Amino acid sequence: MSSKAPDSDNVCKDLESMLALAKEKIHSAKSSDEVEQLRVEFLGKKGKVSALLSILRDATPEDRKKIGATGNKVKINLETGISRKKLELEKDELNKKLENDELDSSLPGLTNAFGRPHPVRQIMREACQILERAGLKSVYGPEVEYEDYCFDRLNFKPGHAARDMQATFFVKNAQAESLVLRTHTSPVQVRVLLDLAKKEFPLPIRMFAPGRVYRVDDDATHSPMFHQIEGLVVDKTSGMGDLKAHLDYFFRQFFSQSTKVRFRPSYFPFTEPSAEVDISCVFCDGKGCRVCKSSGWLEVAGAGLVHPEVFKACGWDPEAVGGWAFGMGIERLAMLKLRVPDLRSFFENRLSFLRATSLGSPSR
Amino acid sequence: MKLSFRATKRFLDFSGTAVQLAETLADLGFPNDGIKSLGADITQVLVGKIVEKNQHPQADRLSLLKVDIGRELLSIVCGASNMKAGDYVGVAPVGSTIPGVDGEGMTLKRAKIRGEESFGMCCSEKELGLSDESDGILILPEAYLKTIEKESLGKPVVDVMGWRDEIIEVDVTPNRGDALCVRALAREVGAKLGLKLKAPFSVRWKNPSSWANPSIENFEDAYGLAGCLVKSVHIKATPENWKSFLQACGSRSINNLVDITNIVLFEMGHPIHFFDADKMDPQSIYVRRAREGETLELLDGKSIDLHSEDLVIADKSGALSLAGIMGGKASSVTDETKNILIEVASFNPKLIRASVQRHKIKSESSLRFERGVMPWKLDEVIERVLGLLQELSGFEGAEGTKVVSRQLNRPHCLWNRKRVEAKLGKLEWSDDEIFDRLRMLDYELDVRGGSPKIVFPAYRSDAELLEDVMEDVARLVGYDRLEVKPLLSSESVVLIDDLQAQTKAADLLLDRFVSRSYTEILNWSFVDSKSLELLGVDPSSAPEIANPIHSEKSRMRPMLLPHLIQSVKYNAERWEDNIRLVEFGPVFSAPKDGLSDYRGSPLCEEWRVACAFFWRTSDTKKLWHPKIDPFFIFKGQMADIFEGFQLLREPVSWIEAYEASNIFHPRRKVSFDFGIAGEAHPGVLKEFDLNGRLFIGEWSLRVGLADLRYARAEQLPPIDLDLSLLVDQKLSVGRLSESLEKCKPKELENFRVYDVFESEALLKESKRAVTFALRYRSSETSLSMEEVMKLQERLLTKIQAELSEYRIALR
Repeated sequence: MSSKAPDSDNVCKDLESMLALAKEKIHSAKSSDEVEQLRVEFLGKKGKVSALLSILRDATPEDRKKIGATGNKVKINLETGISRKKLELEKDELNKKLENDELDSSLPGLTNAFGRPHPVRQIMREACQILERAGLKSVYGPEVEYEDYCFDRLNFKPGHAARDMQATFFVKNAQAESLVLRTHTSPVQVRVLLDLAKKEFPLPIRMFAPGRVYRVDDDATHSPMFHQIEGLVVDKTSGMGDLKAHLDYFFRQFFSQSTKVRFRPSYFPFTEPSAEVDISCVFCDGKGCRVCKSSGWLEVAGAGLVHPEVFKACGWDPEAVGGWAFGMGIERLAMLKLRVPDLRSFFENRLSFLRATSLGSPSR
Repeated sequence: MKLSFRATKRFLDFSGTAVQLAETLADLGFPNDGIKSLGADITQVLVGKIVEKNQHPQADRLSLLKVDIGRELLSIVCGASNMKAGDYVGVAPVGSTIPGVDGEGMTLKRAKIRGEESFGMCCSEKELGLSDESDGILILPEAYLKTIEKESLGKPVVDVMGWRDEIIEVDVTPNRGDALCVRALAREVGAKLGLKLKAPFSVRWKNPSSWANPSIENFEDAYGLAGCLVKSVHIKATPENWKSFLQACGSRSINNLVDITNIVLFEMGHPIHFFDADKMDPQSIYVRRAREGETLELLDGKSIDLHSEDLVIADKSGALSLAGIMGGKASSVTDETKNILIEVASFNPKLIRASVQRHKIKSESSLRFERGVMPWKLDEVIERVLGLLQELSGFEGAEGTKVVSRQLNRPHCLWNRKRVEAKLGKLEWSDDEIFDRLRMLDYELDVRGGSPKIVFPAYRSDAELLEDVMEDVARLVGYDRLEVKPLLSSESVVLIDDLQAQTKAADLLLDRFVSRSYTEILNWSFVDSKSLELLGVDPSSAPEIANPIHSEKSRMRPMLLPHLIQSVKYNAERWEDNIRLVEFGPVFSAPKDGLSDYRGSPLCEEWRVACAFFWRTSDTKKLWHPKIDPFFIFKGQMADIFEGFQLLREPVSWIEAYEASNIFHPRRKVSFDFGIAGEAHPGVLKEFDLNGRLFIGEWSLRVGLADLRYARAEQLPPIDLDLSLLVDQKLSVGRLSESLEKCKPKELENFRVYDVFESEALLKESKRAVTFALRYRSSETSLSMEEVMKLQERLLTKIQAELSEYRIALR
C-alpha cells in the first residue's frame, strides 16, 4: 500500500465512513469506560484516524491538503462527540451512584439540645422589657432589709393590723436595727427616694424594681419565696390618670392588645388612694370561666398614689410632688401566661417541667 | 365577713340582686370570695303537719305517718322517733330533690317499706344540709308556725321559716375594721347609689346618771365606755328569723341574750358584753390595766395570768373580763340570770392586738377591736340592744352611764378641688354633689367661709388626710370613671445602679449556658445547716432566720452549689435525662465577711452563678467519641461559656470556703480567677447516692466582657507546623502550655494541644508524647519555612531551659 500513491478521494471517503461508524459506536456506548476505549480506538496515537492519515507522508501537497482538511474535520467531530457522550454518561453514572447512596440521611443529626431559662426569668425579662419601653429604669435592692425600710417608712405603723398582711421572716443579727427578709420589693422605693431626696434636680423618677421577696407562707398556693416587680414614678404632678395609662400599656403589651384593665378600690398602707388592678380573664376573654370564678376578671396587681406619709418618711415634701406605684407577682403572671396550674412547680426544679414551660416569641 | 343579703335590705331599700350588691361592694373596695345561696337547694321541702302517727305493723322501729301538706294528706313511713302527732315537719314529697346525707343530692321515689307504701320523707337537718349532725327529724317550732298556720302548710320550709338568703363572702381590708358589719356595708352602698340608710328598731334609755366616776383609768388605753343596767330579762330561745340571720353570719343560736350580743356585733359592728348584774357591781365598772399577778377565768373555762399591759373591765372587787377579747366566767350570764349590765366600749387597738398575741385567744370581738372600733354613737348601740331585748326578751327599766374620751379629736382637712383633680383627674361631680355623698358616709362638712372643712366620720380610725377623702371620692365616683391620661414618658434621673453589671453578666451568661444545654433552676434562698456540714462547710457564717418556715431551713445560703447538688439528686431520682443545671442567685453573709452588691445593705449579699453537669455512667454509651473523658466536655463548655469574661471588681475571696470544703475532687479542678469549677468529690456522690460523675462550678457575677475594638484581618498566609515532643509523664500538659505561652515568639499566632500519646513502651520510661499544632504568621512579611523552622528550634530550646527539671525532647 505504501508503494502505491494514495488516492485522495478514496482516503477521504474512508475517513468519512469511519466517522459514520465511530459516531454509531459512540452513540451506542453504555459507559464512560467504553467511550474512553473508543477514543483510544479512533483518536489514539495508534488509532484508526492516525492509521489512515499515515499515508499523508507520501501524498502530494495537493492531496495532503485535501486529506488533511477532511482528517481534521473528522478528528474535531470525533473529539466533540466523544467528550459530549462522556460527560453525558458520567453524569448519568454519578446520578446512579448518588441514587444508591449508602448514607441513611433519615438518621437523626447530632444535636446539642438547648436548655431553657427558668419560666420566672422569662416572664421577668418580658415584664422588664415592657417597662423599659415605657421609659422606666431598673433598680435593685437587697433581700435582707431593715425592718424600717420594709415597713415603717412605708407607713406600716407598728402594732397596726396591716403588718399581718405580710407574714414576715426576721433575721437574727447583732446590729441594733431589726432585720427582715423583704416581704415586697417596695423598700427599693424607700432607698431610691432617700437617695434622691438630697439631690438638686431629682425629678422625674421613673423606676421599676424586680426581685425576690419572702413571706412566712408555705402551702399549695403560697411559696415562702417568690418574685415581684414594682414600679414607681414621681414627678411634680402625676396622678391616677398616668398610673392607669401605664398599667393599661403594660398589660396590653404583656397579654394582648385586647386585654382590658380594671381598677378597684383597695387598701395598702403606702398608697392613698389604693387600687387592686384586674385584667379581663385571659382564659375566657372576660366571658366568665372557672379560673375567674365566672367574674370575667383576674386580680393581677396592686397600685395607688404614693402616700404622703411615705414621702415624708423619705425626706420629701408631699405637697410639692406627686407619685404613683404599682406591684405585681411574677409567678402569678407566669401562671396566667404559661397556663401553669401549680405555683409550687416553679420551685421544684424538675427538668421536664422546666423544659416544657417556655415562652414562644414575645407577642407584640 | 359573711354579709346576709336579706339583712342588708333591712338597712337599705336596695332593689337589685345579690350579685349586683356584690358588684357594687367590689367597686367600693370590698371584693368577695363568692356568693352562697342559703336554702336554694331545699326549696322543694314543704311544711307538713303530722296529723296521725301509728306503729308500723311489721317493724318496731318504723312509724306510719299521715302528713298534711295542705293540698293532700301523704302517707309516710318514718324511721325517726322524735316526732308526735301535731308536730310540724319538713316534708320531701315524691319527685323532690334534697341535698341528702352526703350532700350529693337525692331525689325521692315512691317506696314500699316492709309492705307499707311511703309517698315522701320527713327530713332531718343533716339530710337538708342544715347541719353536720342531727338527732331525729327536723321539728319546726310550733309557736312560730301557729301564727301563720293556714298559709304555711305545703309551702316551702325555707320561705316560711325565712331561711332563704344569699351570703356574700366580703373581703374587708385591715384598715376598715369599722366595715365588718351589715350597717357599714349598707352605708357604703347607699352613699354610692344615693340611697338613705334605714335605722333599725331601737329603744331610748334613761339619761346617763352619775355612777362611778371616772370609769376609764387612762384615755390612752380606752376611748369610751357605756354601761346600762337592765332588769328582769327573760332567757329563752331566739325566734327563727333571728336564728337564720345568725346562721347567715356563720354563728349559732344559743339563747336570746347571747344571740343579741352577736346580732348587734354583726349588724352594727360593735362588740358588746352582758354581765350578770347580780354577780358584780354594775355601778363601779371601769377600764383599767391588769394588775401584776392578777388571774381571770374566762368564759371558755380557761384561766389566764394577766399581764400589766392587758386591759380589763373591772368593778371595785376585781377584773371581770379581758377587755375586747373575752368575758369572765364568774360574771357571765347564765340561765338563772335576772338582771344584766350591757357594756359597750372602745379600746386602743394596739393593746388589744398585743393581748390577742400574748394569750393566743381570738374572737369576733377581738377581730374588730384589733382593727379599731371607735367610740362612735355608743348610745345608739345601747339603744339597739334595748330594741332587741324588747323584741326577744322583754325587760324593765334601763339606766346607766357613758364616758367618752374628750381628748379624742376628730381629724379634719380642708377641701382643695385643684389638688384632688391633680391626682384623680377631672371629676364629673360638682363640689356640692361630692359633699352630699360624703355626708352619706357620715362625713361632716363645714362649708361656711373659704375652703370647706371636712371632718372625717367618727367610725373611721384610719383617715386623716385629704388623700383619704380623695380615695372615698374616687370610690364613690368609681375608679373606672377616673380619666386616663396619655402615656407620656420623660427620661428619669440617674438612679442607684447597684447590680446593673451583675444583671448584664447574668443575662449574657444565661444565654451561653442555655446554648450548651443547661436549664435554669430556682431554689429558695434558705438552706439547712446540716446539708452544709455534710459538705464540709461551716454554717455559722450563714445568716440565721429567727422564725424559719421549717426548722431545717433556718439559714440564708452562703453559697449556691449545695442546692444545685440537691437538685441534681432530685432530677436523677426522677429518671430525668441530660441533667445540666444552672442557677443564678444571691448568697448571704455577715457584713464583715465581704463586700455587698448593694450600697447600704444590712448584710453582705452577692450574686453568683453556679452550674452542675451530671454524667450518668450509662451516658458514655451515647457519646460519639467514647475516648473523651466527660471532664473535658465540661471543661470545654466552661471555657466557651466564660470566654472573654473578666473580673470587674476586687478579687474574690469566697473561693477559700470551697477550697476548705469537701465538695471538689482535690485534683480535678478548672481554674478561674473569679470562681471555682471541677469534678465533685467522690464522697459527695456517695453522700447523695448519685451513680456517675458530677461536674460543678460557681462563679462571681462581678464580671463583664471588655469591648473588642477594631482589629485588621490578617492579609498574609500563615504557616502551620506541628511540634511533637517526648516528655516526662509527670509534666502536665497545662504546665507545658504555660511554658509555651511564656516562651513564644511574636510570630507564633496561636497553638493548641493536638495529640497526647501514651504507650506501654513509653510508660516504661515514664514518658509520653505530646503534640501541639502551631500557627506562625507575621503581619509584615511573608514567612518562609526556613525562618519558621528556625523560630521553632529556638522555641524548643527556651522551653527546655524553662522546664529544665523535666526531660523534653523532639520526638
